[in-house]
Amino acid sequence: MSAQKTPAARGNGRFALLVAVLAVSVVASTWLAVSIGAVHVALPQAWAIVADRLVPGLVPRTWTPVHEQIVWQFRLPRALLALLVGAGLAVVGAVLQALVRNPLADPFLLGISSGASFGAVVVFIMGASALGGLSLSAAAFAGALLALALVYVLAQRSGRLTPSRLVLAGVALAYLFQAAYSFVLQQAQSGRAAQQVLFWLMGSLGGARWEMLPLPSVVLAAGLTYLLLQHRPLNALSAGEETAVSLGVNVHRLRITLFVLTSLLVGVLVATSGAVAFVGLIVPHAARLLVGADHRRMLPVTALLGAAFLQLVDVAARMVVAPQELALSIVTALFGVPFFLWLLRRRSVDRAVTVT
Amino acid sequence: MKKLLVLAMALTLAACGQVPATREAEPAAAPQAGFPVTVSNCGRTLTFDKPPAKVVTGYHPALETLFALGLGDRVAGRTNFSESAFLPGHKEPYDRIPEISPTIMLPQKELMLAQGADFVLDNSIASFDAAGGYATVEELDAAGAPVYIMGGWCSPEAALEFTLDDTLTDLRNLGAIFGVPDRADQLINELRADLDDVRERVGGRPPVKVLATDGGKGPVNAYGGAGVTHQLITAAGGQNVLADVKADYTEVNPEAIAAAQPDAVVISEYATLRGEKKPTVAAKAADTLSVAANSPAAKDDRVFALPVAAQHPGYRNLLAVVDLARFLHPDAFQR
Repeated sequence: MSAQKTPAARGNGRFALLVAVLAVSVVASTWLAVSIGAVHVALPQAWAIVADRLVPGLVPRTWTPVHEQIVWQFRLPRALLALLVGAGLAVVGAVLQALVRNPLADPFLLGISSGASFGAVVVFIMGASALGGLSLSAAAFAGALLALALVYVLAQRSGRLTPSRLVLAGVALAYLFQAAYSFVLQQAQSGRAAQQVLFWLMGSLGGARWEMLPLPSVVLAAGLTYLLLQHRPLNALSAGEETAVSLGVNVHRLRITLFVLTSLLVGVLVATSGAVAFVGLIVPHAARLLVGADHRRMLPVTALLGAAFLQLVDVAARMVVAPQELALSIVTALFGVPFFLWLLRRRSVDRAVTVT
Repeated sequence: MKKLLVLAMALTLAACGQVPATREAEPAAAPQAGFPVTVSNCGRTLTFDKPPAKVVTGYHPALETLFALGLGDRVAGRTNFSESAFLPGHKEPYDRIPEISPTIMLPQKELMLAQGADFVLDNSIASFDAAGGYATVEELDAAGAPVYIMGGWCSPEAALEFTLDDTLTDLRNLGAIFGVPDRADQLINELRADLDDVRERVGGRPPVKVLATDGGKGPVNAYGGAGVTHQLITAAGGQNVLADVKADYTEVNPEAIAAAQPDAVVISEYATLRGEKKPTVAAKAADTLSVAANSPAAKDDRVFALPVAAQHPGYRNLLAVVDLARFLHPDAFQR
């Protein structure tokens, strides 16, 4: 408050305010997502249903089983999954941009999502029996792990990962996996199956159920905690290898840890929602434009921004052509690109990625 | 490798040289009565000086339609059909016709043109998309193989306008093209009688609310209020719960499915891979009924497997109406 405050303290106040505003946006967008949908459920009723589930008997039951199913089994888990996927993809994008020191990096750069997509397409077209009875999301996760292992083997040289090898191995394997799933897709006897696959590949939260939430929640919470604890090494890494080494960071070990962590996160997220494009690319840049490149501030802002953004995107995907649905990647690009261009024009992006 | 290539070429040549022995013993030059015949199809005018004798058929319902008209002996090449069961009596004549494509699509351009067909029958313009590597309608036309597209499926938009009358129109046109108008008229009259019978039986009864899907937990892959499936449901005394969705096959929000309260569920039946004998109706039905968990259809476990071939233009459409009506209104068929 007082004029004597240091710039850092003023920055802290501004940061706290921003985080508070973003947290409110996350809650508000989730409230919106639970309140509206393809089927009209009166607002008080929607919240009475949630309240009744949380504290049974709190409110008199006046709703139909169908409305309860819609709010409790479809909308709420879907809204929560949107938060997890949005936050997760955005954080992964931020870390990968620092890891490979490239502002174009996004969660799909390292081929992990292509591996996940390959697993999903195999199950879509060839049936669960093709991969020993794995479900769609289990197959997607298995594909992600396979890609992770391959990229790691290809990118490392005597235990060291370099950004350029990582990117090249990732991009090359992404093409390989895309070719593989395109082949499986071409073998499909039915245009219907192909359409389903394409829709899934472009991302959808339509299949969200409660049982899909625990795994992404745990992985995201653990990952985010680790990354926040490592914000100093992350800052050093994004400033350059020499800087990091001179600051005493074990660069090789950090790179491997970050690679495995982000790959696992991408695998888990893509397995639940398909490949949602663009969130992981633009949200970290938006966060840097807001609070700078220091990961201590940038990562929480990225997570909150990503969560709120994907929540609103999913509401749009459900509502624009209701009761039909749009694939998420269509909406992320449609709403994300203009916003991002506006941000770019407003603020200098010269300081993007690296800490200055 | 080289040996293999030579072998493959020899096999291909052998396949090409296989002129069907079933060709009609027609009078050599004398023009057949009633010819030339002119029909219009997808905005083009097709003229035939004589009945086609070397026909290539695309997706199986096209072949079924020719079988129904007793024209199987005119077919020189067909695609593979292994996604679901054959219509009664169709397996044998199918086996006698050379398979020119191992998939449900026509073969690639070169192989297709090499067939030397004089008529091509299919039910989707996708089979003639140059981008997919297929011979286009124009190329086939120039090669002396005019293309007839069934059901008015000239474009994705046109496919939304399909009605069962389009199938009857196809039968009439094919009867004319092949010089068997009487046979076509007789079949049309029989099928019309079947449709009238269904209409009469289900007429006074309250329509059964039907949800037609292809599975999916969310979004649900469902059939909206336009296109073949919607027409089948309506003709069979059903009421499509997604009638307001102006689409054929589309992705629908699970909320809307949960709230739709269908009395019965229709699931597309097909194997997704060639040669695969396993249709996936049970799993798709389980997904759909878990979304529509509070519906009468879920309580009664009322599921009808509709072969996807019947959801494409062709003779099978009209048979499916009767089957579906019997499922939706069993009481109406007691007498």
